[in-house]
Amino acid sequence: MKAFLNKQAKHFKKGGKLERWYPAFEMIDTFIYTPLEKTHGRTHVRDGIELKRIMTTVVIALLPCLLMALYNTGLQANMAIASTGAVASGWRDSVVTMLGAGYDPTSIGDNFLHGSLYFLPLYIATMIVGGTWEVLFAVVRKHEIGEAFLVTSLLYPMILPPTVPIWQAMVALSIGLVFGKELFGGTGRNVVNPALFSRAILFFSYPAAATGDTIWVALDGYSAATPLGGQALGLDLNVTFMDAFLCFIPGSMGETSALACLFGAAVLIITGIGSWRIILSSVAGLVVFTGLFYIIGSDTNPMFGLSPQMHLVLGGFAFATVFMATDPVSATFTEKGKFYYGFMIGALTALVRVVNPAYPEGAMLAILFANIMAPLIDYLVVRANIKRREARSAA
Amino acid sequence: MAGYGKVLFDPIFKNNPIAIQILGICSALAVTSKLETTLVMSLSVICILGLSNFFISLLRKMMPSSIRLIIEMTIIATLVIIADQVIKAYMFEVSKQLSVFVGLIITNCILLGRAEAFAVNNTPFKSMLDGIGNAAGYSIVLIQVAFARELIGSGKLLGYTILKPITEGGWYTPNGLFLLAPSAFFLIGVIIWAAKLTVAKEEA
Amino acid sequence: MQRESDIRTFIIALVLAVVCSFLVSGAAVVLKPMQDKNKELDRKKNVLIAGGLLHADTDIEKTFEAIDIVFADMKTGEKVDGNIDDYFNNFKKLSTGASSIQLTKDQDLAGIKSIPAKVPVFMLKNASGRLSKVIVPIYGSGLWSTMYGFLAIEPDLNTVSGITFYEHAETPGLGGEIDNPLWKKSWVGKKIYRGEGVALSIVKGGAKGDYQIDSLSGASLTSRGVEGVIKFWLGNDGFAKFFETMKKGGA
Repeated sequence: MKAFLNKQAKHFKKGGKLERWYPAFEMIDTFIYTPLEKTHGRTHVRDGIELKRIMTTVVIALLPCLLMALYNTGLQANMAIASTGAVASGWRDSVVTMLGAGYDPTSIGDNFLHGSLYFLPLYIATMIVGGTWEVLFAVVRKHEIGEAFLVTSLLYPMILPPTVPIWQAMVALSIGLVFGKELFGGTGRNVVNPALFSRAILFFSYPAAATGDTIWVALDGYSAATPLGGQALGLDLNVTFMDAFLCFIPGSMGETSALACLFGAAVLIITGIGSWRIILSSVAGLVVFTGLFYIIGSDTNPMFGLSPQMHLVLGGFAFATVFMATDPVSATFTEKGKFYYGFMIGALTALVRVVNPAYPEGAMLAILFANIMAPLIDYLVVRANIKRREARSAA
Repeated sequence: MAGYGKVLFDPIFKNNPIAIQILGICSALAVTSKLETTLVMSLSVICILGLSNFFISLLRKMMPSSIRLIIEMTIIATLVIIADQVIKAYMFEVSKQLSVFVGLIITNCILLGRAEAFAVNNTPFKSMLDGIGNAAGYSIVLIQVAFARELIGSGKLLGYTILKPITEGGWYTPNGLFLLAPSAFFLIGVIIWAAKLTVAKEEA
Repeated sequence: MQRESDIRTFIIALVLAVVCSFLVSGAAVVLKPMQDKNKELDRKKNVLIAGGLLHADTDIEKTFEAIDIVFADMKTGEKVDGNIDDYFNNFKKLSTGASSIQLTKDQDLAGIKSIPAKVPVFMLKNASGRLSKVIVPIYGSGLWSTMYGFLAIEPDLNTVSGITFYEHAETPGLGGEIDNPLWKKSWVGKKIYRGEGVALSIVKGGAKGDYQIDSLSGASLTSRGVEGVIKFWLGNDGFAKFFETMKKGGA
């Protein structure tokens, strides 16, 4: 294989007949084997470790969330089927029957299978769209293919509701990738997190597919509000802290388990890829602000009555903070700036969740906003540092 | 005569006020969610800019420099208010959607920009052509944006259903993003990109 | 005279100001009647839409001749006199000013704080001069905006015959679907009162029977707003008292 690749290499080098497609060749070559030439693009300058190893670590950190996503999506759907007595149909049903499985919510295998049947098509579609744009831009722009799209493609389906129409997810991802990342120069130069940006595009493009209460459980017409959405309407959903912490609540596929996110956080922090400063300060921001709202209270807005610890485990906050906010490209670079950046995310999440009546979940918008503010924060931190040093040397 | 043609057509393609000079973006966001409102808006800008350039150029030798800008603004404002009144009287439905944005033509940087950059130094007829050319350049971009926004955002063109939405029994799912102002930013961004690409190629 | 002298500057400014103000006020005066007529026509059109009377070839003015406009005193439910142009032109003053009726928190289902003391009611007659529809203006808070509309009711004062919102700023695709013709159609024929109070309500998924309407998918808060508007304007603080008067033959 390696020999084959090396033999093919000459076609792609300068002057070879397939020169234009060098980036595609390079991707396959370096993805399977250690690259012959390492870090020479500006992309890698900001970190000592090589980009591909970062990506692999992130994927490992994501694994528990992924497993929980598969399991919980199936569990929620199967529970809905069991409680309503609905009869499953369509191609998913054919696959389930073919494999001799059923829709028993107590069977782990059934849940995994049913969940996978929702997650995998979305994942495959995402990979196709993400890969196509990346290769296209790499070829036209003559830069290397950034493997970051592999991570983006894994993150994106995890923050989608299970019932989202696949073509809508693909359209939103295309707009998100092109405008959020490729136009800025591709991997490493994007201002905002591409997966999250695509999610926002979906949210505003097809609001019916991304909000409401019939989309969170993968069963047609079955209505179940997310705990946060329900709270905004003043419904009592009887969600316990442990349920939400472990994962057994309706929501976007990968975001429901705070426990799995905690594992991911541990992996990212230990390997030094995710900044503990961002995660910590973001949690602090959320707790401080929701705590304040909790103390103030309100007669008309039931969101005020949700305690800070519930805010931490409900909705997409845990997932977004651990995997989205810490994205080294779109976050702040200065260490001090990371505290401000994280706190801003936590505080804004709390504000949007509690005060804005339309969006029960605010983590997405909070992080995108903080992404955009990150360069400014860095600038201010650096300026303050210069001033401090000037004052010191003057004294 | 060749000079006149250049004055009229250059701002439409080669030196488009929005795509090349990046002027007048504000109204491009606000009035482009429907093609009909955009057409009315474009037409008013063409009339106002043509006339304002004409009158300002006519008065250019009389204007005392100390109050030059005030005079220019007064002329522009007068024309804008008259246009607004006419639209309210004859095109009520459209005027409801345009609301304050006709009035805000006064603050459109293209108007004062052309007055200062061209009309004060050129003959009335030439200035009028320059005004019409610039307004037409502005309109072309606006109409492109509105075309995409109305078609993708609500599946219609000029109010006629082209792509029948699911909610009315068809097959098309309208893309809500295109009804919101940020989508105009994306679209104008793409147009600017395309324009710069072609202009750069011509110059090379 | 020098080009930059003070006197000359002053004179030019004066002449320009006079000419421009003459043009502007001239345009305003000449076009005013047409603009007012447009506004009136627009209002009439919305009343007709709610009543389901507007078709492509409808002559708005002519159809409107068959409509009697009366005013309902919102405190007593009596029929009173009023000026319809005045009502719409000075709506803000009438609905929040000194003459308005302040609502308590319990009364204020539509989230509007205060209402005008008297509100117009459009009585539509058929060819033989009998009452065929009653159309009332309604408004209240949605998610983002105040939604203004008209509700048309059959002469039995208990059956909805049409609803339309002519001004709102709800989210396109979600709350904005209150404009959706299919949804508006789902209101037709629904009943309003059962026993004490308004029974008509908006429910999530699977509306059944005469008293339920499906909520807009993904727009719980706008749907709630619409329900509040209906409950308020058809309730005791709204038109219910006036309807009682009508039934007794007082209007």
